Amino acid sequence: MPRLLSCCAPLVLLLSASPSRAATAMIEGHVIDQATGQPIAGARVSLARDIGDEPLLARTDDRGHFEFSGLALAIHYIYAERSGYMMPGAPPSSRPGPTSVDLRLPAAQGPASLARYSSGLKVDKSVNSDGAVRAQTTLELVRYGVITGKITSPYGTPLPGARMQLFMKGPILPGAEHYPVQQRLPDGQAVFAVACENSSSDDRGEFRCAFLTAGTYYLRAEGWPGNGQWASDYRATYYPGALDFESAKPLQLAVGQSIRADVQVKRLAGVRVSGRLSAPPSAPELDDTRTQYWVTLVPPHSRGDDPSPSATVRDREFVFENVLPGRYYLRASIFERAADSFDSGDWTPLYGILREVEVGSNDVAGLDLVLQPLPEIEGKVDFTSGCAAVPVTLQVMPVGSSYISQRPLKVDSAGGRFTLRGVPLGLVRLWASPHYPPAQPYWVQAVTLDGRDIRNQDFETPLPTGASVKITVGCPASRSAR
Amino acid sequence: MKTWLLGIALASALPSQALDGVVVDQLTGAPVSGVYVRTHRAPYCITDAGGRFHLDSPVSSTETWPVFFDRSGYILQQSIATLAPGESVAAARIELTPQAVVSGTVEDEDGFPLQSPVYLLGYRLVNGRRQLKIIAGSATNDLGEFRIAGLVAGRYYLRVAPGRGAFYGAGRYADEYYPAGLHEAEAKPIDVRAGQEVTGLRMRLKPNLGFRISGHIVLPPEYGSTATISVGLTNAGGNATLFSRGALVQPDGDRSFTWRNVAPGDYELRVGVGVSSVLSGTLYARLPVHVDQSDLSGLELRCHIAQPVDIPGKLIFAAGARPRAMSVILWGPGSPSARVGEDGTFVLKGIMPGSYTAGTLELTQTGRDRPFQLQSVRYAGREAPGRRIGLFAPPGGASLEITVADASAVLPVRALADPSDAATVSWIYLVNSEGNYLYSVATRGDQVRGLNLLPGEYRVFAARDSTYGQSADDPDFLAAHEKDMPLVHVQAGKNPLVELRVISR
Repeated sequence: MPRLLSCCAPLVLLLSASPSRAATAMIEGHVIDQATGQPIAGARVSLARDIGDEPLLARTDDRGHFEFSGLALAIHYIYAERSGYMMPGAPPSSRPGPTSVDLRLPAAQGPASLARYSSGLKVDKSVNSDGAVRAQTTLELVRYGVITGKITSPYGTPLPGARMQLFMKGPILPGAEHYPVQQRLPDGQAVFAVACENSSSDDRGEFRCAFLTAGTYYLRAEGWPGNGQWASDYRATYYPGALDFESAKPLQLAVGQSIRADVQVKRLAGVRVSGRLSAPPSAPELDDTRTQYWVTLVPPHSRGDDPSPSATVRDREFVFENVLPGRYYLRASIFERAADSFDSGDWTPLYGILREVEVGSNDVAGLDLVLQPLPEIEGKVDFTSGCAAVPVTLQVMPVGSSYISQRPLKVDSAGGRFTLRGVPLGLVRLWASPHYPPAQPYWVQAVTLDGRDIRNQDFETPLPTGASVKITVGCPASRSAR
Repeated sequence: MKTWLLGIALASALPSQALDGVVVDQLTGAPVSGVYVRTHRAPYCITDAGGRFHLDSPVSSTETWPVFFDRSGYILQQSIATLAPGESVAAARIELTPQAVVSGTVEDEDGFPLQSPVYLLGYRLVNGRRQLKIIAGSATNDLGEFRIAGLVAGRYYLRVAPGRGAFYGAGRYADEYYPAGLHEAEAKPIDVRAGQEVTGLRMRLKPNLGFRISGHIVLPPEYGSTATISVGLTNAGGNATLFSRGALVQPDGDRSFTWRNVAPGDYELRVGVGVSSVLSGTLYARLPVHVDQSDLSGLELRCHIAQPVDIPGKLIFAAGARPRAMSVILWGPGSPSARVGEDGTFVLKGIMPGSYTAGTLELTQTGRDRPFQLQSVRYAGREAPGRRIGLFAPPGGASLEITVADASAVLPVRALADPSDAATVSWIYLVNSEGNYLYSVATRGDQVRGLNLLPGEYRVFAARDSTYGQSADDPDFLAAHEKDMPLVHVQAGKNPLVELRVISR
C-alpha cells in the first residue's frame, strides 16, 4: 500500500519525484449508499476530462469497487449511477450532476474554483517515485424519493396537463433575500419551489416527481377544464384539497421512499370584477391604433408566479372573471407604441393607476378608473475608473404582476444623466444593462437610491421629491485596476 | 354515425337559450360522462352519466360560435353553434374519437433507464416534399418510461433524441429510430387505430453510432477578442428542434470544433444567433450541413460581426388600391417594422442578423391590426420560401419586395352529407397544391360555404369532424382518399361550386 500524503506533505519530496516518462494517475474507490454505508454493486461510474467528453466507464463489483488507470494528471469529472439512486445534492436544485476530482500532483493543485462544475470530491492522494498519482475515494449515492399521484377534476375525471409544483418551507438565508419565493410566511420563513421533472400530468392525470431528497414537501396542482389556460373556476389546489398553503398537508418523504399523493382540484366560483379605464381629462386625444390598455389584479404578496385572475379588455372596458374574495392590487396602465413600430418591446407607458380592491362575495362592477400621468425617476450612470463610457439601457418593471415589455431607456454615455418616464407605480425593480463591446463585458456594480442599495431589490414609487438613482458600471479595466 | 349541428334559436329580443345534447363514444356509441363543453367564453358544463349536457347560451347574436368538447382519453372535438334568429333548437349528438396512445421504455447499452426526449413522427407534405415531421412528443421519466397520448389513428415512427439530457449521454448517443437504426429507412412504422394503446415499445440505444462533424471557424480580421465562442449544431427543417449541441471554440487556439455521434439528417451550424436579437458587435454565422453516410470534416464556418443595417423595400398591391395606413413587419428577433409611404416604399431600419418572416399590417382605428395575405416576398431578387428571410450575411444593398395578394377569390363548396339530416355538421379542409394544410371550416347540412383564398390550385375535402387537421397533409391519407379530394383550379373572383363526399378515416 503506498504511503498516503496529505495536502500538507513536504513539497520537496513531491518535486524531487521527477518522472522519466509522462506520469499518469489512477483512481480507485467504492460506491456506497449514503444512508446505510453499504456498497452498491453494479453501479456505473463514468470519468471524463470534461462534461460532454467521451467518458471512461467502469462497473462496480460486489464490494462496490471501481478503478480507472492511465489518466492524465488533471482535473476530471466523475459520475456514478444506479437505478433508483442519484448523486448527492440539496433541494431545491434539480438532479445533481457530476462532481470534479482533482488528479493533479498536489504541488500543482490550485484553488478549488478551477473546477468548473462543482466543488469537488474528496480524495486521498499518494505520489509514487515515478511521479504517478494514486487516488482513493468514496462516491456516495443517495436513494432518491419519488412523489407520484393522480390529478382529477372537480368532477372526478382525470385532469391532463395539470401543472404540478412542489414546495418546501425554509428560512430566507442571508444574501438570498432577492431570490424568488412563492410566499413569505409570518414566522419569517418562506415557501420555495422545488424542481420536479415531468411536472405536468399526463393524459390519465398521472404525474411523477423523481430525484427528490428526503424532506417535507407540499404539493400543488393547477389545472384547467379543457385545453387552454383560462379564467375558470378551477383553483390551484394543495394536497390533499386545500386552497391555501397554510391548510396544505405536508408530505414526509424518507430516503428512497416513493409515496403517492392524489389531488382532486377544487372548484370555487368567484365573482366578476369589471370597470372602465380612462386617460386623465387633460390628456391629449389618444390614437387608438397605437394604444393598449393593460390591467392586472394580483394578491398583495404576489411575486408574479402564483395564479392570478386574468382580464379581458375591450374598448377600454375590463372584466375579470371568477375572482375569489380577498384583497388585491389592481394595476392599470395605458401604453402607447411608437408611430412606426409593432415591436413587442416598444411600448411606452403613459398613464397608470395602482388601487387596492377588496373583493367580497358579490360582483364588483363600475370600477371606473381615471389613470394619471406616471412618475419619473431621475438619475445618473457612472463608470468606474478606466472604463470608457458605453450606452446603458434601463427598465423599471413592477413586482408581482405581468406587464407589457416596455421600451427601455437607452442612456447616452455622454454625461450619463437620465430621466426614466412612465415609471410603474408601487413596488418595482430597476434593471440596467450595459451594451459592451465583444469580449469586454461591462457589469452593473451598484444601483443606489439616495445611498440605499436597490440592485436586485424592490423599491416603492413614486420616489420622494428630489430622490435620485445612481448606477455604477464596471468593466475589465476596473477589475485589473483593483 | 353523424355529427350533428348544435343549433340554437336565438334572437336578441328573446331570452337566453340553452344548448342541449348528448356526447357518445364514436366507436362504441356509449354515452361519455365528464366531457367538458364550452364555447369560447364562460360558462361551461360537464356531461352527466348519460353523456347529456345543458349549456346556457352565453351569447345573443346571429354569429356562429365554436363549441368545444374535451375529455381526457378522447381527441378534442369542435362543433359549431349557430345563433340564428328563429331557428329551432336541435338535440345535438356529438361523437368523440377515442385517443390512441403509444408507450414504452428507453434504456442504454447497460440497461440503465435513459432520460431523453421521445418523438412520434409521421410523413407529411411540406412544400411539396414528403418528409418526416414531428406529430407529438414526450420525454422519458427516471425509469426510462414514455407515454405519448392524444393521437388520431394513423401511421407513426418513433425517434429517441438523447442529444440533450444525460450528463455523459450528451454526445454519446445518436438519435435513433424505433426499433434500432440511425436512418429513416430503418424506422419501423407503428400503425395505431382509434382508441388503441400500443404499449411495450422498448429501445436499447447503442453508444457511439452516427457520424463525426468537424471543422473550424473563420473570424473576420477586425475581430480582436479572445473570449470563447460557442458554436451550435441544430437540426434544420421540421417543426421543432430535435437536436441541439454546443461546442466551445477558443479564438486564440486552433478554432476547431467537433461533434461525435450525429445521426444522418439536415443540420445547421450556428454562432451567436438565437431566438432573440443579436447584439451589435457580436459574432454570428450560419452554415447548413447535410449528414448522410459518412463523417464531415474540414467545415469552414465563416463568422461576421453583427451590425445593424437598413433594408429598403417596396410594397405592391396586386389588387391595385391599397389601404391608408400600412406597415411592413419582419416577425422575428425584435420584430422590426416600418411605415409604408404613399408611393409604397419603406425602409426597415437597424435590422440585426436573424431569421424573419415578412408580413404587412393595416393600422386600423379599432387598434386591432389587420394582417394581409402575401402573394410573394422577394429578397435580394429571389423568392423567399414561406415568406421567411434569413439575414445571416452582410446584405450588400439587397432590397425587399412584397406583393400583397388579391384575396378576392371565393370557392363555393358543399359537403354531400345525408340529405335527410339538414343539421349534420361536416368540416371542409383546404390543402394547397404543395400539400400544405391551410385551414378548415365547419358546415352543416347542404349549406354552401364560400372559401376565401388566393387564386391557384388546391385540394379540398370534406370530413365528418374537426379532428382531420392532423391528417390533412398526410400523403398516405391523401392518396387513400384521392378520389374524394378534387384538385381545384381557383380563379380570381367567384368560382363554380365544388361538391364533396364526406370521408372518414
